[in-house]
Amino acid sequence: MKRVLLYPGLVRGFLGGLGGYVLGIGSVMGVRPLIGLGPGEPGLVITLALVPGLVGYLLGLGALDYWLGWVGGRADAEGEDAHEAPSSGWARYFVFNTDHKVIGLQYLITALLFFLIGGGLAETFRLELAAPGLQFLSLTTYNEFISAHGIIMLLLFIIPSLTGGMGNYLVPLMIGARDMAFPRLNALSYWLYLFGGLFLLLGLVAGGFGAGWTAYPPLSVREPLGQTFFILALIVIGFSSIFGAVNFLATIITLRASGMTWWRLPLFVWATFATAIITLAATPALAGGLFLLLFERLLGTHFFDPAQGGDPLLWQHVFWFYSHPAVYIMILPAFGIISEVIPVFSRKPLFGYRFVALSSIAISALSFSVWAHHMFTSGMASWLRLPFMIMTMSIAVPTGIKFFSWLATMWGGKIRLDVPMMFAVGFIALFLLGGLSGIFNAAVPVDLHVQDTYWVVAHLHFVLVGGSVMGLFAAIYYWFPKMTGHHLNPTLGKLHFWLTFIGSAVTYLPMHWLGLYGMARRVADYDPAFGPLNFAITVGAIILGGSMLPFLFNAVWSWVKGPKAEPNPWHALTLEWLVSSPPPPHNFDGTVPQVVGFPYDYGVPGAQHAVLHQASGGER
Amino acid sequence: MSSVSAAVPAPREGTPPGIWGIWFFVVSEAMLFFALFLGYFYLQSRSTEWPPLGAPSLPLTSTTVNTIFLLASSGTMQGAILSLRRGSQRSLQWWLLATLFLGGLFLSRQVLEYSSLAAEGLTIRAGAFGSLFYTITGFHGAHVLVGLVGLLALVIRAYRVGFSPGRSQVVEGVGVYWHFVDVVWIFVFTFLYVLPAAGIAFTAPSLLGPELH
Amino acid sequence: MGKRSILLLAGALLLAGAVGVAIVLNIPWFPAAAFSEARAIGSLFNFILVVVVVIFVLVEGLLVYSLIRFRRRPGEEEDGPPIHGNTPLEIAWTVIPALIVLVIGIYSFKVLQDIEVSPRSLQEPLVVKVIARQFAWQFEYPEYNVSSAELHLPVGRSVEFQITSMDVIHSFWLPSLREKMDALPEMVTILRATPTTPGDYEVICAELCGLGHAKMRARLIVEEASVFQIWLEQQQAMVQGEDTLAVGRRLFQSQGCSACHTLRDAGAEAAIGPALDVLPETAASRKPGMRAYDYIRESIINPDVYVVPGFPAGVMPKGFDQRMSGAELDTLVRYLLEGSAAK
Repeated sequence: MKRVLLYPGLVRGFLGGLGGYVLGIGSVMGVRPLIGLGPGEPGLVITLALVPGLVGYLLGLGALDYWLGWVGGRADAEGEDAHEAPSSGWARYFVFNTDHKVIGLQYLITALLFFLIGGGLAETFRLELAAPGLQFLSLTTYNEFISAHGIIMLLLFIIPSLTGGMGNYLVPLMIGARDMAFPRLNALSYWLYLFGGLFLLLGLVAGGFGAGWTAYPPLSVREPLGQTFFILALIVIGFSSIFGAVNFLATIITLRASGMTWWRLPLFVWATFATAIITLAATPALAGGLFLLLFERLLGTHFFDPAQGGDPLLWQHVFWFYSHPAVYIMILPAFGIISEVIPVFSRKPLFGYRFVALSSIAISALSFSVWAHHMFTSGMASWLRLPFMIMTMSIAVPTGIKFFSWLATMWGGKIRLDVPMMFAVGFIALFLLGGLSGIFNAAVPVDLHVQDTYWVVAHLHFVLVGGSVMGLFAAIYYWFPKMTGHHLNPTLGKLHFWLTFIGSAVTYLPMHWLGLYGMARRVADYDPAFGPLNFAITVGAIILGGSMLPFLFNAVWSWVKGPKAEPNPWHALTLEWLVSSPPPPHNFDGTVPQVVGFPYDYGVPGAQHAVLHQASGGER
Repeated sequence: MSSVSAAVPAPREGTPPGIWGIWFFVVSEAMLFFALFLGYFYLQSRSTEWPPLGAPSLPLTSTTVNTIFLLASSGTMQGAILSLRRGSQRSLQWWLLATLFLGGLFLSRQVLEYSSLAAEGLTIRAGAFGSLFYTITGFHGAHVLVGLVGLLALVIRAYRVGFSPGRSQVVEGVGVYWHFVDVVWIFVFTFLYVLPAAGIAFTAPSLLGPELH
Repeated sequence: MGKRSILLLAGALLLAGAVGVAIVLNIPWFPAAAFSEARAIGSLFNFILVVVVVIFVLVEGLLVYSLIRFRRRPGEEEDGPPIHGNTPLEIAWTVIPALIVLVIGIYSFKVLQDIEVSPRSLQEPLVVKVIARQFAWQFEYPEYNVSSAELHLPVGRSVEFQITSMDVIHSFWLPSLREKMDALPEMVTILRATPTTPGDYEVICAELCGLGHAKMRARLIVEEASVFQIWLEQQQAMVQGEDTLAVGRRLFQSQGCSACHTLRDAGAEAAIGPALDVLPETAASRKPGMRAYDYIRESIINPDVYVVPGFPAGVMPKGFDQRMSGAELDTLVRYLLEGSAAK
């Protein structure tokens, strides 16, 4: 017990965080009366104490050990060093470990736990919505649940699982690097994310936040204490994302193996690169906006108060300047995953590789010029709507390129419908619906009707569940043998797929009609005439929730008892399949990867993407 | 503890990862200020009068002096980097101390300016103008403070063990960040102090949003 | 892959597309329309729907076809043909979607012009001030000095809605118009429309505005001009001829109190705030030493001073002392204290 407490890691981190927080609260409430102020309202105290809380948490984790030692002259920071903490066994997942593979799995599993929480919230309010009238949730609780569901799914599940989880695990392997460029910063990103996520959950019990995940002021300024937790949590998670993006960009630029030119880069790496650009450039805007909202709540500023020269539309501009590009942060990695899976299981080269790679970059560039399409009915000046409509519609073009390329890759191939491929095909089938309903939303006159209705709820869920979640599951089934060294059970995988596919269709398809017919989103109660369809949607949601049972059982059971996986079970060409499953601690220990060809040359006799040379003496 | 780095790749020419990293981080920070400036000009455009009637004018002269202090600190920082490249530990220490001093001077003068403006009635609650002024300069000040913490770490290390001569990713990284903070200040100074003092304002209340009551 | 099977596939996709279009065009997507603008938006919707269904059938059709036709047969071990791309084809599937969205964009722009910019009526529009507050709508007709919790509109005369909010952001949605516009505090947003079809429709709040958001609805009644005129006169006569109690009841309804409270006399049955039928008995004892009249008055103007146990603070909107004159406030308090229970 004593050893667990003293060891730098999760337990000591939480104790440190708690200690820092108590210290912070104590000093804020102790100092303020000395300078003639009251003890301070809870939101302000919580905010000021966040800094010592965070520092205590990081000290407890041991995240700052290296740098403090460096300042004191103990180590040399010129070379990054990793793997000081336990590097094997389950214990390494609970400490400040700098191995990108450990961090990837930490992200992935934490994100899946948040997925269960977000899903549980959704199941609860779907049960409430199964019949008109209020059944068992109060109006306040309902608003808190939908707000928490939204923000948890977007920022604590989808982004961290695709970028933090898959990106961290795969990018260094795929480019032939031993680790990320900044392993310590990488670990810091994960632990900040965990801190932010738990802090957000704390907000749910500390008064709750019910202004939606979009937190529009003035409503969000009037919300109880939980909204302050929401803001602080998002700021911390924002830092985590930015650090992650810096790391991906530096890694992909500087650590590619010899021979890995840009036109030999696997498309998942391209997608992560494009995603990191968006994260890097958009997230600070959100952080800035969140600070303004925080000041509005705590310091009485007037950014969003039109009576004092402010404007609530300012928040919407800043918020969507981040949050629309964030949609691409959530979908580009999934596009990348699909581009990896389809060639392998069609046994054909990816059709139009360069167009597909460049379309990711095009999407990330365009994503910054479309934000105000969320504001067509906001009262924003009407002349602004035309340029935003045109830019929004133009995003259909690079997205279309990807779809047609995937279809052309499958065309004439030798398709193996293994579970990863089923999810990839499901992705194409379902995401298409979300993409197509987006064309309606982009057309201003139609959007005047569908904005803020269930139509939009349907649209965004086809994009995020049909797209990001299907993509994530394709990735999990595809790389699970690599990550764990064990095969998943394909029968349970197929069951999982069909439940997800059918559940999504039953849940989200009827929402289109409800929205057009007059059901606004974010309502706890609705016109009794909408009862039957809402009941059907709830049934769909239960199927969707049930789909997690075979998956969870399969993942846990197979990780422990599943059949051992060989290095390259799918006969793929990219670099991660050249090493053992799971890969050795430094990915290519004892060997040096040399990239010699295109990553998707299936069907080309004797094609190789890369070879591993034996390391010469100096290299470890 | 192994001394072989896990991250250093097969030797590769060109900019090391640390410098790429700090530059990307600075780009990200620049986007934060970009957003704040957009907010500033957005709310300015929504007003009829900028600065609003009754707001005290910002002290241009003393802030110009402060600007010179901060710009000078960029020079001393560069001096520190160059002395390390030359291998002179002693002058590295002095240049770092000078930078630390100038940065601290800037920050304390900024705090004094706050208190005199507050006495004139310009507080963070004094309408959108007051909120914007304190938030934007405050964000910049917080960045100066972070830079000072970084400088302090360099100073402590410089005195305890020193740096290996030549290029140091850490010293140059702090340098890039410090120059960035100075460049941002030039924009803050221009947008918040100089333009209003020169009578240049961009006001068009119904160009971007609905009419006010 | 022979020419014949390509032709067969193309034919099948064409047929499926036609069937798909025929089906979706016969689904009643929208509720009844009450305004002329709804037709233009409906046509645009149908146009996009046809394009989208064709794309949907094409992509899903090719997907299903590939899965069946190019599925690896048992025992097949070799890979597919190493085709890396086809530049003309790739350019085609870049340019054609660009042209399609361009056409949709131009058509959308034209519809937007039609519904917002071009004049619909030579006569002056009827101005209706739409006032949103948590969680009720109020409609004022400055021309006639009438205020109502129901939206009445005459057929044939175009309307200009001047929308504002007393508190947070709401959204004024008329599904029968196919349009909505946010209501912002301290600002006025504009929506213009021309009612064409008499009937009973809905006004819905579409922007999350707090806990009563789902309940924030009102009736929209579009009626013949003559009927509208009678309604206006009734409203005006009510204001002039009504006794104090009737004025109080009308204030109770038009200020949106019925959206959150239960009061039988006013036909209000909501349960977001405390029920007011028992107010005459409880008001005197809520705050020791405070008279019932003063307590009710304070609770209207400054609801958070005393919050009835079991109800959250900060929910009831503020600013009623600005929306009502002192005399109106007095009338409302008297109505709550004496009038409503008298029956």
